[in-house]
This record gives sequence, structure tokens and C-alpha cells, in this order.
Amino acid sequence: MRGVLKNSDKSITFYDLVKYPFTKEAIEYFKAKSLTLKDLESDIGKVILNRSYERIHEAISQRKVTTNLSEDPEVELLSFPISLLLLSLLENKSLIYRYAVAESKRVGELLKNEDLGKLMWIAKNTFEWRISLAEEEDYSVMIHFIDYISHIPQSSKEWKLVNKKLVKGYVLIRKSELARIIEEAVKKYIVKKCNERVTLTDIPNIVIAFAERIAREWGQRSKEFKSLRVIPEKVRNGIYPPCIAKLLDDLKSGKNLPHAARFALATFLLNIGFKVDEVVSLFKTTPDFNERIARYQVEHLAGLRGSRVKYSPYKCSNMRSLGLCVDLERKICKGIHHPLQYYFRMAESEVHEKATD
Amino acid sequence: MRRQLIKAFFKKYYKNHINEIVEPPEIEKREFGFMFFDKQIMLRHISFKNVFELRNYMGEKVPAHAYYSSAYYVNPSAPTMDEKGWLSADLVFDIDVDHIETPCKKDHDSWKCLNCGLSEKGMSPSKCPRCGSERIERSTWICSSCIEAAKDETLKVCDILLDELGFSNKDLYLVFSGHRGFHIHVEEEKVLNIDQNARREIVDYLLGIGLDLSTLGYLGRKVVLDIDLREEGWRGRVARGLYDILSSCDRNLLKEIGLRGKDIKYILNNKDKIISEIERSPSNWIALSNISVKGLERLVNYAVKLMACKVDERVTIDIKRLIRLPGTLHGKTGFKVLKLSYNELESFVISDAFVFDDESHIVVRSRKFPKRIANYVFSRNGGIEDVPLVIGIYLLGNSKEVEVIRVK
Repeated sequence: MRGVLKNSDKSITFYDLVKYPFTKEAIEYFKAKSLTLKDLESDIGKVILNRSYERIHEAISQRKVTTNLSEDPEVELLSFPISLLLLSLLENKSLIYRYAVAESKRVGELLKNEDLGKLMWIAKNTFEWRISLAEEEDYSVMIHFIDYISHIPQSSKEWKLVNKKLVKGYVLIRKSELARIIEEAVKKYIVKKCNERVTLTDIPNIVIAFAERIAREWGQRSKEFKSLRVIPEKVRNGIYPPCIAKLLDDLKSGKNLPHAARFALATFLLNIGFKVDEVVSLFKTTPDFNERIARYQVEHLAGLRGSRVKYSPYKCSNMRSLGLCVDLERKICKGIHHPLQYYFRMAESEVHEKATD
Repeated sequence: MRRQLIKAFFKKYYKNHINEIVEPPEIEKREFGFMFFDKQIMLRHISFKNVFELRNYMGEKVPAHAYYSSAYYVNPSAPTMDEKGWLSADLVFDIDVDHIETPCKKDHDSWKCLNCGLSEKGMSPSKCPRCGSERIERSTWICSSCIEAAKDETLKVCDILLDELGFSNKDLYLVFSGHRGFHIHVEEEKVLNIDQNARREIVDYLLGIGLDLSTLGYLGRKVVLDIDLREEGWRGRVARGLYDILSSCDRNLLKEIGLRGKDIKYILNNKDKIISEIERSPSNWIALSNISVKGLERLVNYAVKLMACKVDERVTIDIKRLIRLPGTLHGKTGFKVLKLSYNELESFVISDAFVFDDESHIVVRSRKFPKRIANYVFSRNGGIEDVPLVIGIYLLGNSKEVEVIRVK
């Protein structure tokens, strides 16, 4: 079983593959096992499936996946690709994202305690980044800026390229920063993998049963979200991001909103479940209101006309560029990169509080 | 009629120069779009198997404008993005005089608000300063100083791409857009696959967006920076920007920057000392420690704005955009969309993009002429004028008021 490790760094052990099942070597190990769907019906297959389910269950219920090294390490390793398989069967984008964040957080925490060599091993072998050790004080590594900007967290100023030391295309970073970038890359890898279309035939019933169980658990949570639509406006306003709240205030006070502002507000409301009628009637206060045109435009945004695409509101960076962001210092919106994300985060804690009452 | 006349000249040009239309890499994966002299809409979702098909099409249809996608698709001619199947995209930067304030704009540009009727000379605002409407009719012309300004900006962007982002000369080429600016195309393999967020990060770098005071060595309370005039990257750029502001500032400028009376007074009284301290090696900013934190922030922000590249961020971030095809003619100007290497840019003059010969002339009539177009200076404000064909076509393409009297 250690054959896979033959050609790589001697300091990499089988436990590293268990902890980091997304690495090239771990994937090769999995492939070498040539597991078939049918194998999942066997006793050991069921154990793997169960652990795969657990990983996703933890992501749904605690937003974090734990590393379980006390049981069979091989099960732990093999359960990761099977988790991805379950998720790709379900084709639910928000669930995939939820899992990707939770699993990558697990990786991020483990990486904090690893030495630089292990981080470099992942960066080079698995992600094929252009990276090398730096000879500068304060910095451990230099990474090519393209690899860097493709994997930085979106929400914070300190990661921006403009605030980094850049030498001929290479960004100087610390070890802790490298760990965070790997975490982000793991998240992206999972999202990409789960969104790849799989065409499988003869899926064993036990796999379908697990997938259904996950779908039920996730559906339960989404239902709780949807119930928010009926909560009183006063409460609901508290869970709007400040930019949207400001636009609503402007609208109510009869201000004439520019086009981009109208787009942002209308798409936001449509996305959290407002009906076309409700959105149109909100815009009645604008000075140049024309019901026919307004209705046509809102229906277009809702995906009922034209290209049939339902539009999303702008994400935070675009809101900033358009001058619609009201929290440039990111005091209220810490860690937020999309207005809808703010809403759903607040909405979730709202549901939670209601549930624990 | 006038459009048919321009079309006839284009047709004649393409007959002899069709092979100058540039073949984009992997042409079969690109979407093309065209606008025609007799239609108002853009015909999109067109693809060609090879450059010969493209050239045939151009010679036959003689479009007014020709564009291709910076993106590569599985099915470039599919009608929706989903079906097109996006694969990757070149990294493109757009530098346009429209976004650069040049003194010559007072000579040749004007705008009119279609909502309230306000009209002024010079660079047009994005919305009307009187009524806030975004419905603005712009009348813009080109002159050699505009082109020089755009060239300077383009060289500035290129230098950052080469020196700081580490691209090599052969990764990038430039295109004169055929009107008021330049495009920079980067076709380096690794850059093709990056997503919109990463592209935004590159634009933000060029624009200096999100630059933090702590990056400049500022540690709070005690206002001191640790940047040096001779330093590379944004730290050095901000140092030079601050130096430029402080060494040339007067009360009005500091007020415009948003400084308080106390800070303005301090800076004006200690200007020489501040400047000579900055000129030291390494630069010393201690003399600025007496101004307020807010004041320093505003000075830095102004320096960033001064030093930022004037690129149109939307073009770089949009990975599904159509961009002008080099080697074709620009339907509004009649100038050639010209591919240039980095080394050729320096010596580029607008007449390099002229394709209609100087011998032919055209007599035109208009109520009003601009002062100048490219390097041609009009002899009168309006009336009848005998102009070179190049200038005549430019006039016809840009103003509805111009009539053709005869072609010579």
C-alpha cells in the first residue's frame, strides 16, 4: 500500500494521505484500489459509506468536519472521494459549498501544526503551484502571483495583491498564509469535483439511501430558511445587509435610485423570495415610476422573460466598485463577500434562535 | 448614403489588404461579432473554422466593425453562454482617452445632458452634475495629444506587467483600437484559466484599489511611513505621488484633497523641510507626523489616484467580452485597428493607422467643425472644407451634421 509514496518525499507518511485525502498521492491510492460501486455494498463498503455520510452530516450540522484517525485510517482516506460522489449525485450547489467550506476548514486547522515542508509538498505536488522557499526575512515562501490570486480569501484587504510584496511576478508570503491559501484551494477543488457531471448506472440502493438521507437533512434546513419570508418586516429588516437596507431607505424616502442600485435591490429581493408583484410595488415610490416598464424589467430579472436567466445581485466587490457599498471598513460585514451571504447567515442564526426558544 | 460611401471605401480597402486581418490564436474557438453599415444591431455568435473563412466573410460583407471574443469556447457559435462552454480567456486591458483627463479635451470634446439640457465643453462626466441623469450625449474627437496621453498610460501598464507581475515581452502585444485608445492582450498560458475574481485582483493592483496604510509602514497614532522614493511597486509609487503633490501643492489643491485648515497650514509652512526630508535616502516622513491621521489618509488616497493606471476595469473582468479584431477598420473613424509590439508602441503616431491615401480629398460641409482631428487642423469653424479622405471619413463616421459635397 505504500507503493504510491515511493517517488515522493520520504517524510510523507500514509497518515498524511489520510489527513489530506485531496492530494495527488491520496487520489492515486484511491484509484489503485479500483473500487467499484458494487463494492460499496460489501461490509467494508458500508463502513466507508457511513463515514462518507458522517463527513457531510458534520458539515451540515456543525459546519466542520473532524479528522477521525482512531478508526481504520484506510476507511478515513477512502471515505473522502465517496463523500464527493454522494454530493455529485445530489447536485445541490449550496450543499456542495457548505461541505467544501467545512472540509477545507478541517484541512486548514491541521496545516497550522505542520512544518513548511509538508505545505510545500501539497502546494507543489498536488496544486502544481510555482512556488519556492524565500530568502527574505519575515517571509517563508515566494509563490507566483497567478497561483496566489486564484486562491486568496475574498473578504479581506490584507490579502489583496496591492498590499503584498511582489518581486518579478512572485508574491512573498508567510507559512501561515500559505496554509490559508491551500485551504482555499481545497475548497475550490471540492466544489469543482462535485460539480463535474457523473453518469453512473446501477447505483446500489444503499448509496441512494445515504444520498436521500443527506438530501432530507439539508432540505430540513432550507425549509427553515424559507419560513423566514413570512416573518414580520421589522424583524426581516434587521437581517438585511447594510447596503440593501440603505437602498430600501432611499427608496422609501422617494429618492431616485440609479440603474445599478435598482438592479441590486430588485435582484436581492427576488433572490430571498419576494414575488414580482411585491418588488414592483416597492418601486412605486420612485419619481419616474412606470408600472408597465417596471414590471417588465423585474420579470426579466426574475428569469421570466428573455434569456430566462434568474439574476443574482452584485457581489460585494462589485457593490464597492459601483459605489453602493456602505460598509467599506467592513465593520458590519466582516467576512462577507456577497449581500445574500449576509442575509442567509443572519437568517440562519435567526432560525436557530427561534428553534432554541 | 453617407454610410454607403464609407462602406464603398472599406470594400476597396479590404480588396487589397484582406490578408492583413490578424488571425487570433485558436480562431476556431472564438466567437465573432459584427456591426454593419445598414443595420443598427450587432450580429453575434458567429464562428470561423480558419482565418480564410473569416477573411472571405470580411471581404464579402464589409462590416463597419469587427470583434472577436477574448474567450475560447467549445461551441463559439452557440446562442447562450451555457451552450457555448467557456474554456478560458486572454487577459485584456483597455486604455481609452475617454477615462483620462487631457487638456486637449477642452478643444475638441463636448457633452449634452439629454434630460436637463445642460451642455459643456471638455471631458464628459458619467452623470449630469446638475440633474444626475446618466443620459448624456457625447461628442468626442481625437488629436495627437490624446493619443500621446493614451500611449503614456499604456506604457505605464506594460511596465507594471513586465517589471512587477513578471510577464515577458513575448507574452503581450498591443492593439491601437482604431479610435481613442489601446488594448493590451496577455496570452501567457497560465493566465488564460484564471477566473473573474483573480482578474479583478489584477485590475485592483493596477488601479491601487484596497491599498492599506499598513502596507506603507504606517503603524497608527504616530503618523510615519517607511516608504522610499526609489522603491519598486506601490510603496514607491505612493512615495513619488506624495512627493509630487507636496512639492507642487497650493492651498486650493490641499483643500480639494480634503485636508483640514490646520493640516493645510502646517504643510504650507513646512513645505521645504518636508520635501528635503523625503528626498533623503531612505526617504524620511517624520515631518508629516504633525498632520492628522485623516489628513494623511486623504493625501495617500490622492497619491494613489494620481499614480493609478487608467484602465477600464470592466473590460478586464468580463471574461465573455468581444474586442476589436486587429487588421480591420474601425467603422466610426476609418482608422486601422493596428497590432503593435511593445517596442513599436513608443514610436506609434496616429497616422500609422491611416489607410486612405493622402492624395484623395473630399469636400464636406458642416455647421460646425472641431478644431482638429488627429494631426489635421481645420481652417474654419464651420462651412465647406476640402479635407484629406482620411479626415473626411472620420468626420462622416462621427457626426451626423456632416454632408459630402464631392469626392475628388
